[in-house]
Amino acid sequence: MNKKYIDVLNEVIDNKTTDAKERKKLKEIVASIVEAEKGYEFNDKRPRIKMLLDSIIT
Amino acid sequence: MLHINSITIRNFRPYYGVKKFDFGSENGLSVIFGDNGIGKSSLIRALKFVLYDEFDNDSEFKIKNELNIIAWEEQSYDMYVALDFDYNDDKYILKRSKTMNTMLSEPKNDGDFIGSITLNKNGRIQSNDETERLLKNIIPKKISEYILFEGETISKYKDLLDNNKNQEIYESIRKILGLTILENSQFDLENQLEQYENQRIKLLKDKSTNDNLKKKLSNLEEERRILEESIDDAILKRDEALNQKSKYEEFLRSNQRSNDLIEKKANKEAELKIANDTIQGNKDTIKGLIKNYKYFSLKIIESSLEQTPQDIVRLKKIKDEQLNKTDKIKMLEELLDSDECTYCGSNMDDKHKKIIMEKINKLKKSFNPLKDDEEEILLSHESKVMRFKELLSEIKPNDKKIKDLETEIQTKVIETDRLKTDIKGIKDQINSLGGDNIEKITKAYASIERNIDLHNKIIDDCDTQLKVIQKSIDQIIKKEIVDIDLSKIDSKIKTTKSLIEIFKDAIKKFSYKMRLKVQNDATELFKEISNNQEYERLEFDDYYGLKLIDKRNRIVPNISSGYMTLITISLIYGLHKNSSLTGTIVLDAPFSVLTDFHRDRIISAFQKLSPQVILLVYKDQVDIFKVREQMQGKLINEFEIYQNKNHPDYSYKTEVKRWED
Repeated sequence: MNKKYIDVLNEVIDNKTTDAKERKKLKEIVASIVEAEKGYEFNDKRPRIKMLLDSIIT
Repeated sequence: MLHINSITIRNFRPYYGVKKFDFGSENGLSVIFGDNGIGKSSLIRALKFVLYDEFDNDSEFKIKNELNIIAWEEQSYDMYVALDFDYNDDKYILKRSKTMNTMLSEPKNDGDFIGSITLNKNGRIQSNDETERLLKNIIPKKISEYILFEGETISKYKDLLDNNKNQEIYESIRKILGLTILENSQFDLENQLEQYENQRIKLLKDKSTNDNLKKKLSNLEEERRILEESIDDAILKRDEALNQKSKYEEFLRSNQRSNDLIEKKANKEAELKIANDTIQGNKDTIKGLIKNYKYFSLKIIESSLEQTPQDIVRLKKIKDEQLNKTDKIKMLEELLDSDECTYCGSNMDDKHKKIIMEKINKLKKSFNPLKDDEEEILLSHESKVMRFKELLSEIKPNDKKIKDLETEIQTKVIETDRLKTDIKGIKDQINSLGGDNIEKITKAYASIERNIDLHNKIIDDCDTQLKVIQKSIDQIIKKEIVDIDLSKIDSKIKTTKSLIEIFKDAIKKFSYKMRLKVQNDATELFKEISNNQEYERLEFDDYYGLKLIDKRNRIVPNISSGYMTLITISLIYGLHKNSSLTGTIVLDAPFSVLTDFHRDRIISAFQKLSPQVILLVYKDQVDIFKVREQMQGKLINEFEIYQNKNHPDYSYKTEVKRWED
């Protein structure tokens, strides 16, 4: 299931970003975000996501 | 994937006591037959209750409306619904109950009931937080319209055909298709961005404070450097002076006689200075003393006092005579008033009195007083004489003092002449011993000593200031100025902004992509179940507004209720096929407006809708034999809900019966 999100996200990243290093970084971050968000899809309280975002965003 | 194994109900609506629908673990179609008012819709309400703690009534005392009336009358104030289900290879039993508080005898409102929920996952009871989290993920309330299709829900889907933007369904569809994950990501990133921007503002503030401290430190260090340089410079100059001083001392030691003479000369010069100062001082004092009397000389005053002008003498004489006459008149008048003579003591007769009167008259006649201007001249003169006398008393002591000072001046003048002669003599002696050089060196020696003192003072002052500055520097250093680097937070902000844009674009793209997929799949089923060659496809707008397009690419107007149901079922199919949340679908009486043909078509399509479909229908709505034939073994459960009219209160006692082959 993740794949269908990741494919779209990666496609957007490829269109928006020319720098290969930056592309790789963004793709890794969005994959981590989607994986984490999956566990809280219908939960309005997502404190762990906040912590995760701060740790993966550089 | 969700699969419902069984639903157990106790004292809920028409279900009195414990009733169970056991669907088993096999996938397929389960049909529950029942007449109107027997409990088909109540089954969906039971599911909503167990899943979401939701009662479908607006009453103030909701539980009383939901609790079976017979149980209520028997004072059995408890009800529950238990759901046994599988989800992604895990086994769950969810049970929700409402039981009257045991401290009460009869409940008066919802608050008198205690609600409880337990979720058993693979044989282990879950905590309340975990129960809440799991339920939100497995069967979220936000997409209940996707699982539990009662009549009202189907109507909401039908709204999509009327160009009404049904926000509830629209959002539900987005959630079903998985857009929530992307939307949540965007939302969480936006929150994160806000947090980073706040952090940046704080860092900027800290940086500004640190920059100020750094600037202050830099200024203090510069001041310290200047002071240290000043001290070094003063030490250098002092040492040079000390060096020079020792050279002078060496020179002067070898010229002791000259030194003595120089000292003697200096003493004489000092004496001369004192004598000159005394002379000058006395002159100044004399000047001051005579300043006040510069218009008067002692001799003038004295001669003025000795020589009284003739006019004044004359006027004074007249004045004295008048005074004398006045006294006499007064005395005679007093005598006249008394009977006895004051002088001889004999009695005075008229004769005597007459004589006295005559004397008085004679005196009065001879009375010639001074005129006013004469009186004034006389008074002015007397005043002048008075002032002269006062001046005399002041001038005489001062005059003596001036004379003494003049005497002292004379003495000092003689003394200064002598001292000048002495000094000249000493100078001659000094010159004969070495000339002005010694004197110059002596003076230079004194000067260099002053310089050494001055340098020492500079060193001490600078050292004191240096200590103060060093203290300030230490205080700043103690504050541990950390270099604040904004690049990290700036990078995070930049990345977060990029991510937000990526997710925004992805949402649009994903939404579009999924819409096309759902549209194509729904069209596929619609064509199959409608079997109408005139209709080409279903089309969605951005809000999932549905349109039926005919072969000539026209929007079909005035769609019938039956077709609306077909389109709704097709949409549900399209959604299920493309959703990450696949599982049970519960449909409540969807056939009311369908022809037999379309009903048969839909039943055939059930196995496509979802692996598990629970269908609630009127007994006469479907031909069970036909369904069995159409489903080709996929009809796995057949239940009938009914009421035994032989029992009292049968309307409130729905029974569940499984139809066996």
